[in-house]
Formats: sequence, C-alpha cells, structure tokens
Amino acid sequence: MSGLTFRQALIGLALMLMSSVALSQRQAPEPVLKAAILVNMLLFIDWPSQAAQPKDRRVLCYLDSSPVAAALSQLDGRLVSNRPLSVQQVSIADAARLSSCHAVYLAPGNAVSMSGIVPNLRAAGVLIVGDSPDYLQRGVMLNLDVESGRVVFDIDLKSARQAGLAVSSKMLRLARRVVE
Amino acid sequence: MKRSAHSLVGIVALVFYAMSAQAQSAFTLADELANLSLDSLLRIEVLGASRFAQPLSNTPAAVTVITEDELRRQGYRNIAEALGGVRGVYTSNDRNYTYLGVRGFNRPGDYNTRVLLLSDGARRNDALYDQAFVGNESPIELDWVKRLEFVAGPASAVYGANALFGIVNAVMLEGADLNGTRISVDAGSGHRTRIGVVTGQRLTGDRDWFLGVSVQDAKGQDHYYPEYGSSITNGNALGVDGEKYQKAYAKLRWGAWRFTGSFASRDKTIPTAPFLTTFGVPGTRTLDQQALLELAYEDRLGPDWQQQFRIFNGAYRYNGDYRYVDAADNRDHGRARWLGTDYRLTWTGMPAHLLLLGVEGQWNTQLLQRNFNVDPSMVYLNRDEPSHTLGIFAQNEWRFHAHWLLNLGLRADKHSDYSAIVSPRFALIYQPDANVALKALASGAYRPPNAYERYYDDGGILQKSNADLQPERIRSAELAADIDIGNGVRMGASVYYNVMQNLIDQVTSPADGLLVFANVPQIRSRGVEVDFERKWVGGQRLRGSVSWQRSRMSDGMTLVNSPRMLGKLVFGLPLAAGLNVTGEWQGMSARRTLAGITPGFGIFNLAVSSTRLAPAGEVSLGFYNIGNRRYSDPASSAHLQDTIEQDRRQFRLRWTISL
Repeated sequence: MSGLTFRQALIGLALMLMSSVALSQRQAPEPVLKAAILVNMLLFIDWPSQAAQPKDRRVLCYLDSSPVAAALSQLDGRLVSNRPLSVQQVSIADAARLSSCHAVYLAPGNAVSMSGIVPNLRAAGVLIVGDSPDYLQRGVMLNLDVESGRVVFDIDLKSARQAGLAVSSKMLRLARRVVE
Repeated sequence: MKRSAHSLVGIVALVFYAMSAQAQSAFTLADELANLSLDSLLRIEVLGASRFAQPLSNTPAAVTVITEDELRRQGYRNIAEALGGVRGVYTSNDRNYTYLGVRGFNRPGDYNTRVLLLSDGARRNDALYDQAFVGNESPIELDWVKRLEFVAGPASAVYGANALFGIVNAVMLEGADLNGTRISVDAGSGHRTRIGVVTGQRLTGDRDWFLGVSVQDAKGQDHYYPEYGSSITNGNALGVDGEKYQKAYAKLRWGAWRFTGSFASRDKTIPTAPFLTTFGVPGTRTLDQQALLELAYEDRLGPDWQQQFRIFNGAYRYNGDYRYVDAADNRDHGRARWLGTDYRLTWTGMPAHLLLLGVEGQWNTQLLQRNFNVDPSMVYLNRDEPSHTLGIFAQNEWRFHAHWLLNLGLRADKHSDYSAIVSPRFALIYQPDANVALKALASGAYRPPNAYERYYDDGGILQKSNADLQPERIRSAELAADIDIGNGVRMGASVYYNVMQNLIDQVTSPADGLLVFANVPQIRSRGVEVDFERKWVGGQRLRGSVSWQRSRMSDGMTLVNSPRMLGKLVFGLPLAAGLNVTGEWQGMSARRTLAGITPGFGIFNLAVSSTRLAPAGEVSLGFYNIGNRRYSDPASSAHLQDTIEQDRRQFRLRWTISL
C-alpha cells in the first residue's frame, strides 16, 4: 500500500538533505570565545565623561594570568570604538592604576581578594567583568557562563549604574538575566 | 510497516553520520572571532562543552527536557504530542480527552490522576477529578511554553498528592523571551483553524509582562464505528466531532512579585456515543473550563536564605450534555473552587547542604457534582463534598563527598477525610566527573480518592458511589544512569520496580453490574528504559529511546492499555536558507483492552518550516501519521467500542508573523 511510496519519499528526502546540508555554525575554545565576547561588550558601554580613564584608548585590565586573560592579551591593539585596545596586567595593590582601567576582568582565582577591591572599582567607574558562577552576587557587573554549549551572560544593572556606567539596551536584550 | 520503520532508522543514522564527518573541521582564531558581532559570538558553540540543558545531574529522578527549539520546530500541537516523544510515556485518546500513560500505567476510566501537571511550578490538576489536562483541553497552550520537563517517578515527597508516576512541568514564556509579538495562524485537517497571539516585553525597573491568547475552531472528522453498524447512520458518525476552544494566559512580574492568570474553555462534541447515548446525532458534548489566579513572591532573605510564597485561587467547571433521542437528555455537571497557599524556605548556610522546608494548604471550598435529566426533569445527584489538605515537607541535599550527593525528602499530608500520609524519597547520586551521574532512587507517593471517584452516582443507571474508598499508594525503586559521552552525545538508562497498593480502579460491581471505583489488590511493574541523544555543532539533533515494561495484577494478568514496548525517535535538521526539517517516529507494541487486544503500531510525523518563504515570519507544514497507519487505543467501559480508532494522516499549515 502506501508503505512503499512512503519509503521512497524518505530515501529521496534523505538524499536531498545529504547533498544540501550547510554547516554555518562553528566551535571555538572557551577562553578565546569568552575573550572575544568581553572585548565586543565594551562597544555597548558608555563611561561617564568626567571619569579618570584615558579618552584615547580602551584599557582592559586583569589581575592574574588565566586562560581568558591570555586570550584577552592576544587582542591587545585591536580597535574598539575607533580606539586601540590596551590589555594590561595590574597588581591588586596598585589602586591608582586599577582606577584608570575601563574594565577589569576577575578570573575564577580572584574570589578571595575581590571583596576588597570591588567597592573602589565601582566608585571609580570601572566595569567589572568575570566568568565565575557566583560572581554576579559579589559585585561583578557582567558575568559570563556556559549554557547548553554556548556562552551566555548576566548583567547586574544596579551595580553598573552605581558605577555611573550606561549599558546599551541591545546588550540587555541579549542577556540571559538582568538584575536590577 | 515494521520494515519501513527499520529502514527509516537506518536512513536517519546515515544522514547524521554524514553530517558529523563534515562537522569536524570547524575551528577559529581569536582575530577572526573578534571581527564578529556580539549576536554571532553568542551563537558559537564552546568546544567540548555539554550541549544539554543543565543541571539535570543533581535531580533525584530521571528527567527529560524538551527545549524551546524542539517545541517550536517539531510541529507539536499540544502538550500531549510533545510528551509522546518522551521515554516511557505514551498517550491515548477517546475523542474527548487525552490520557497520559507512564511506565505501563494508563487505566481506562481514569482522568490522568496519577501525573501532576505544573505550569511555572503551580499545580494545574483540577480539585474535583484530579485531572491533568494535556490534550487540546489543556489550559496550557504549547505556544506559551518555553521548556517542557518530564520528571519520571514518584515525587509526592515534594509535591504531595497525584505525583505518582511523574510530573509534567511547563516553564512558561516571559516577556523578555519575546520583546515583541508573535501571531500564528493555523489551518489543518478536520477543518481546524486556530489563531494564536503571544506578546510580551521586558520593562525597566525589573518588570516583565507576557500575554498569550488563542482561539481554535474545528469541525472535526467523520468516523465509522462498526459497533454501531445497525444504527440509523449504519455506524457513521458524521459531523459530530467538532471542537472549539478559547484560552488566555497572562503573567506580570514586578521585582520579586509575580502575578499569573490563566483561563481556558473548551467545547467538544463526542462522536463515540459514550454512556449509551444515541449514536450519530449531535448534542453529546463536554465543556471544560479552568481558571487560575496566582500571586507569587520570591526573594533572598540573606546570603544563605531564599524564600518563596504563593497564594492561588482556582476554579473548574465541567458540563456534560448527553443526548438520548428516545428518552430524556441527561446533564452531568461538575463545579470546583479552591484556594491555596504555600511557603518554601531554602537554606544553604551549612556547607555542602541545601535544605528546603515547605508548608502547603489547599481548601477545596466547592466540589459539587450534579446529574439530572432535562425533560422530564429528574435529579439523580446533587452533592457537594468540600475537603482540604495540609502538607508539610523537608528536603536535604547533602554533598557529603566531592563525587557523592544524598537527597533525602519527606512530606506529610493530611486530607480532611483521611489520616496523615507520609511520602519519603531517598536518592543517592554518584558523579565521578561532570559527565556521569549514577542514581539509586527509592520513593513513595500517594493519592487520596477524589470526590468524583467517591461520590459520583447517576441514580443506579451506570455508575454508583463508594464513599469508603481509601488512598492509593505507590512504592518505587529505580537505578538510573546519565552519561554525557562528549562530542554532543548523551545516554541514559533506567531500571525500575513499582508496587502499587490499593489502586483506585473502575470495576464492575458483581452485585448489580454497576461501574464503581474500588481499591484493587497489589499491582507490580518492572521495566527498563534506555535513551540516547546527539546534538551536532550545526544544530542537528537526534533523540531516541526504547522502553520495556511488564505490569501484572495480583492474579497474574497484564494490565489493560499497558504496552510492553515503546520506541521513539525524534530528529531535527536545520538546513541552509532558513529551512528546517524535523521528524518523529513513535512505536508501540500490542496492548490489552477491556475485551481483547489492540495490535501494535508505528507512526511517523514530519514537519518542514522555512523562515524565507514568508515575509516577517515563518511558514511551517506538519504531517502527522504520514504513513496513514490505522491504529486504535483501548476504550473505557463508558464505551460500547472496545477500542477507538485514532487519526489517520493529518496535516497542519502554520504561518507565524513576528512583529
């Protein structure tokens, strides 16, 4: 009865699929992908005009070496919002230099020391970014996570606003979670 | 048919193999990534990361998650169809309601009382019949669901009554998931038309709103029932399968507060002439209306405390019109109103422990059943039996070793008419690494008889009451494994053993031949379930499962509507140019019916969608039972038919516009 034509239709369909499958999506190592996303996010942040950060470049700082920090360093010198990106390692004790960063990346290993610097960074209008599960509750404003094989991010809008930072609505739309 | 099913599996496997061979080459450099937009970056897959929704491994049960992508692409028309692809789950239909079978249990005459249906965690079974509405009669439209979870096994230790075989949790859409409006227009077999609108927005100040509305009208199809061959219409039921529904769902979130309203009304004409009604004439129909208002509050009390509080008000209304041409027409009415509240407190103050405490109360202020003849008027039943339940529960999740997790749960429930019942749960989970979870589970669950089972009586015509019914209980033991093999492959397996005591079952009273609900002796079932899933980098997915089970009553007989074997295969293929092809095969072995046996079958569904064909939207075309296979589901004793034939080949065309 209809079984045969049904099977022929399926074989035809399968052949069609095999010849036309186009793989548009790709994979990337986690640190490299996270670094690219963090740098891209700088496009969607406005720093207060009276802030202490330099106007001629975008300064992205990290405290200790980590896989994401290494990947960030590879992006040093790229243009972000028509300004060169400067990726720098800064000592946690160097408060003045930390305050002149546009953004500071806190690695998973910075959990112990972060409570001491977060309030100062926020007061200086510095964007605090991270990629550790509970960092959003600890004052990180933009926190990356991996869900179902893809990078997602959460925003603590309240914390960002306290720092005087304006986050574009496009980024809020792409966020998994926005805390206000 | 069996053969074509085999070759189908082979073809699908071949297609996926060919694709996976192509997929290996993908790799990118930091510079290349830095040139992409943020949207594109968020779509790139993390190399080596699990592609499966997390975290399921801590759950003290075997869980199946159907993601939004699958819910939208697969062409499912209601919750029951989506659940039909889940391991160990099967559905049957009598052209009035859809009945959910789990692990070999789908009792004829039962209204889904042993599965708990939740939307955003709120109980949706009604208070009078305990019914989990999963077909078109459901107050939850699949279009409003973001993610559908099926948790297999008893869960009364947290959720109380009815969670005997599993929980269906529909995680509903929020405004933030849409930030706009989606309108879908459907046309399909049986002159079925439907318009659905979902709209919502995330607003500043941590506010969010969502609204879903849908209206459907179907003429239905003509049917032939040989059992009524000598009727005036020679067994033809023409134009008596119509269905209409109107549903709405609204959700408003403001910070820690959430307000939800859900309303649904469905009117179905029944072609099968149940309860000895006159065959082939219009007028036998059921109307089901549900309403739920819920106010919830969820907040962090301190660094280690989280609280959740809910109050809810529900109502259910059922009108059954039963047409007897040469005698008085009969009306069957059910009315239920309930009020409830629950409070949950989570404490994480002790390292390695997660403690959950909760209390819950529900007051069924009205559980009214009426049965009467219209002309001449005659009242057979007019009985309101309000009741209430109070529950208190505690659960501790203790990670006593890096690789070991112990989950202990205990809940006590007190129903106004019965002594307190305790439901325990014990789960030991071993996770040698992030990709493997081995679980040993033991749990108990219960269900008190509902007002329908205890008090329904149609004046000694077909059915009588049994106020002495006792609660039924299930004890279950299960070993389960969930392994993420890597490269997008996951496998799961489960072995279980269930003992059902005092099962509330519809039987024929030997004294007078009337139908009555009674507690029947012990039923034992054992089963094995295996499933696998693969997701490719390009978005292709394949999921399949095989379940084997055997359920026996105390006299050694197998249960009615209890297939020995179930097989499922679900796949999705995103192609170039916005084209998507999805398909599904479901197979079931033979089932016992009340009087005989209904043979096994396999059906195949296919859906094709395109984002290019329609401006500002998407067009999809779904085919159901594409092989036009003839198959039947066992009927309850309300029917003269022993089995009810199911839908042959059907289609649905959908146009979705996004604004």
